[in-house]
Amino acid sequence: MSEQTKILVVDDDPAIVSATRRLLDKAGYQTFPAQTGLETLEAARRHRPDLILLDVNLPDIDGFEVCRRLKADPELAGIGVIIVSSTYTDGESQAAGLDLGADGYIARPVSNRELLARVQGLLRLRAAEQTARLSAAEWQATFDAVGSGIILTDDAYHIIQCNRAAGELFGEIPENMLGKRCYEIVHSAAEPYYACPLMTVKKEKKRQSMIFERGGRWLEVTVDPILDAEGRFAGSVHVINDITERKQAEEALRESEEKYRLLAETTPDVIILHDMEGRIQYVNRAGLELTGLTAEEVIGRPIDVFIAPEFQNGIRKRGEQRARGNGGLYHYEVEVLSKSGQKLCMEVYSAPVARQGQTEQILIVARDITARKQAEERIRQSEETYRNLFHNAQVGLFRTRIADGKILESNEQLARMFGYDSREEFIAEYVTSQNYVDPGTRERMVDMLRRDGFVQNFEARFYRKDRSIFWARYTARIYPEQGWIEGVAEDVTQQKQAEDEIRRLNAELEQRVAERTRQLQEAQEQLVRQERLAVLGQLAGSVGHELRNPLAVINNAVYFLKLVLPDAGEKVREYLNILERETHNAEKIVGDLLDFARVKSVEREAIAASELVRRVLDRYPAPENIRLHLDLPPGLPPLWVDPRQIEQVLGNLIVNAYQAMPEGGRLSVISDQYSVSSEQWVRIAVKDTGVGIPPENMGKLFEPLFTTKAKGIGLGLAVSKKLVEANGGRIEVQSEPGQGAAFTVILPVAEEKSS
Amino acid sequence: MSQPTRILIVDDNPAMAQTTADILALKGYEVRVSGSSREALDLLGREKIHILLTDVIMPEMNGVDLFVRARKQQPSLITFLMTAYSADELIQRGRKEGAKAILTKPLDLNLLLMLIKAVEESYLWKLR
Repeated sequence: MSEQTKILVVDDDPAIVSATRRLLDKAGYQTFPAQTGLETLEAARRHRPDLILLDVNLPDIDGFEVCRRLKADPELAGIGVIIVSSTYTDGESQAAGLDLGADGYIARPVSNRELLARVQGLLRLRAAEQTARLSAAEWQATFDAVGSGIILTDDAYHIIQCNRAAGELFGEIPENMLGKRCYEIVHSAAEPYYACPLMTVKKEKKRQSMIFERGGRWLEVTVDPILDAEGRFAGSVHVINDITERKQAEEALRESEEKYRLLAETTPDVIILHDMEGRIQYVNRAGLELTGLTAEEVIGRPIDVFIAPEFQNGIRKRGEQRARGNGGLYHYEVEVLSKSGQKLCMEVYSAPVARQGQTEQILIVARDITARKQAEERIRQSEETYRNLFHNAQVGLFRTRIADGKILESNEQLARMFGYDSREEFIAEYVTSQNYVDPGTRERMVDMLRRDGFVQNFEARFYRKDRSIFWARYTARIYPEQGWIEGVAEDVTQQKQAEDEIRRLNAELEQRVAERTRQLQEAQEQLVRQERLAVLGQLAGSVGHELRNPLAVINNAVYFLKLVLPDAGEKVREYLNILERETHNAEKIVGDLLDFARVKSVEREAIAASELVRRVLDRYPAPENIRLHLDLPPGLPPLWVDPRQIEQVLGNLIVNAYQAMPEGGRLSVISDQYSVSSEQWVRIAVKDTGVGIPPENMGKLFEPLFTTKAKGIGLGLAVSKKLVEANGGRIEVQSEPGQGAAFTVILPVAEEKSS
Repeated sequence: MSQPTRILIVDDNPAMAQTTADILALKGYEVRVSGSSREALDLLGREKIHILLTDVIMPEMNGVDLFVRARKQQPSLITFLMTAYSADELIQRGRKEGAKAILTKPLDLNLLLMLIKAVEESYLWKLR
């Protein structure tokens, strides 16, 4: 005992207190004095003595009352109390004191030796009691602290002890379980459970266990026998555990294992477990089916048996890598041999299976990707085929955006068509909507696409990269959801040019045919005309001849009359003059007629155009109201013509011009050089400022017998044309009403003799 | 006294022959007239003619043949041809045979008189 035992000595007589204290102090105790009841209670509270020697006769409250109060106070109840009295020494009083909870009673007088002995005895007893009390509490606490339910029974199933856990298991307060039969509590039954291990324990005197279900919980009970000194069964200890959770975990594990087993066995993937030496420990159904082997044939054999020879090295190396600690998940492809000897391509995942940090197995999950590989290869080949087709196509293939014609996809041919060396560059920068040569073409094309869904052989002109222009012909389809147009295009520039050329040639041919037809018609008409004119010529010849004779007679007659009647009256002379003039006019008409009808021979000589014009103007001088404008350059080559005939022509033209300007005007005679396809010509143009020629008359001007004049039979221009043509030239006319007329004679030139 | 120039006019058109003859007679020439070549040749056989003025185109015998035959009878005969045509082979032949002038009808009478005068001056005086 670490502390000194403390004793409170209470007596109303200070001498007794003092003597007692001396005795006790001497015996080794620590003492405190008190002389009244209240003092005692107060000192007990303050000093917490182990023992109080309490006198009954106290001045304030008596010792019994003090004892009662001490025992009633929980903090003080544990203090030992010995009532010491000289007055109340009878048995009655002693009983009363003990009833009040006093621990002992000492009657005075008492010897010092007896007192000390009594005190010592009481203190020893109390210490023993204390120890026992503590031990029991400790045992109970331990008993209750055990998680398993513990029930002690006697040999007749009576519960003689149970802990808190047992109470909790069965939903009872442990105290209420005491004395009841165990099966009443454990199995809620009126008689022992049929499988109760206790009977076996009783018979065989050794441990038995049982698992049973109670109220949805799984309980495991272990029963041990308690044997008496003679080895007879005296009772039993039940240790009961709630194993519901363990049971559930086991069940879950079992279900989980079943699930995984099912998974492993039903998956089409091959699953293999092998040990670190590569010996197969597990192969699932898919694996067996793949190899065509049985589990017995495979288990324990090296993994190599599956692998195509050329891959075995790789597998070995991977195993070595793993052995060096490069663990983790591997993903690779190998070829394996199927049961039919066919090589199958497998996609493999392998992972280490570790137990307590040590890799013990390798898990392999492999999938037959032969079909996928083959499909991929087919797709790759197909893609390559199409890519080759696409890029090597000799037509342009395109995909453009509907909105603006941006090139989204193109083959090489299309890029080349648009003048790009690089297809990528073409796709990056070309926007068709900005490159249509003809505005509105794209809009028209898109309208057609939207209406019909496609366009066929649409033709449009585009700018190439270098801004040159080409014709494209394309057939396209619209994909509104995707927002693009796809199609095929070809460069038809040459085709178009050829077509244009053909068209041009056709047109030219037609024109030539028309021209030739016209020429033939003209020739025919000419023939007809000439035939007609030949007839006319003969007729005119004879008529002219016949007319000339009477005219000659009239002419003679007039001449004669004028000779014989020199003194005739004014009127007679006037009439003779009229006769003379009209005879001349008639003679002129006959002359023209005969000129026209007669085929004259052309007597050519070299002569300047200016000389011819001069001669004509000498013969037919301009009237006073007509101004002459001459432009006859001296350097022109000489003409090679019959001068008389061309004079006659020019005379006709000039006289006609005078007559076209009765009110006066200007006559221009202009000569210049003129070359057609290296042939040299000289033109002489005679222009007047007269009334001009109505369009409807232009075509008939040169026809014989066409005239707008009151006089004349309309042979002048016809004769002129004939003469010019006889000289190898031609005559043309230009006129607009009110703007005058211009007759141009185009004549051959004399070949230079010097050369 | 000088002999007047005698001119034979041959034309199948009597009016033509008559009027021409009248004009020349009026101008003081001695004029004979024939309506055909045959008649003219008869006359030429009988009488001296200085100038023959003959139409070319005539029935039976044309003026050029007449001129050629007449010249055999009277080699000094001066011949003027008259024609209603400007040019044809007959005229060309006449020109080659020595016709002194070719006159187109209707006659330019002033020109005719001028020619006669020129012929008189150039040839006739020597021949007479």
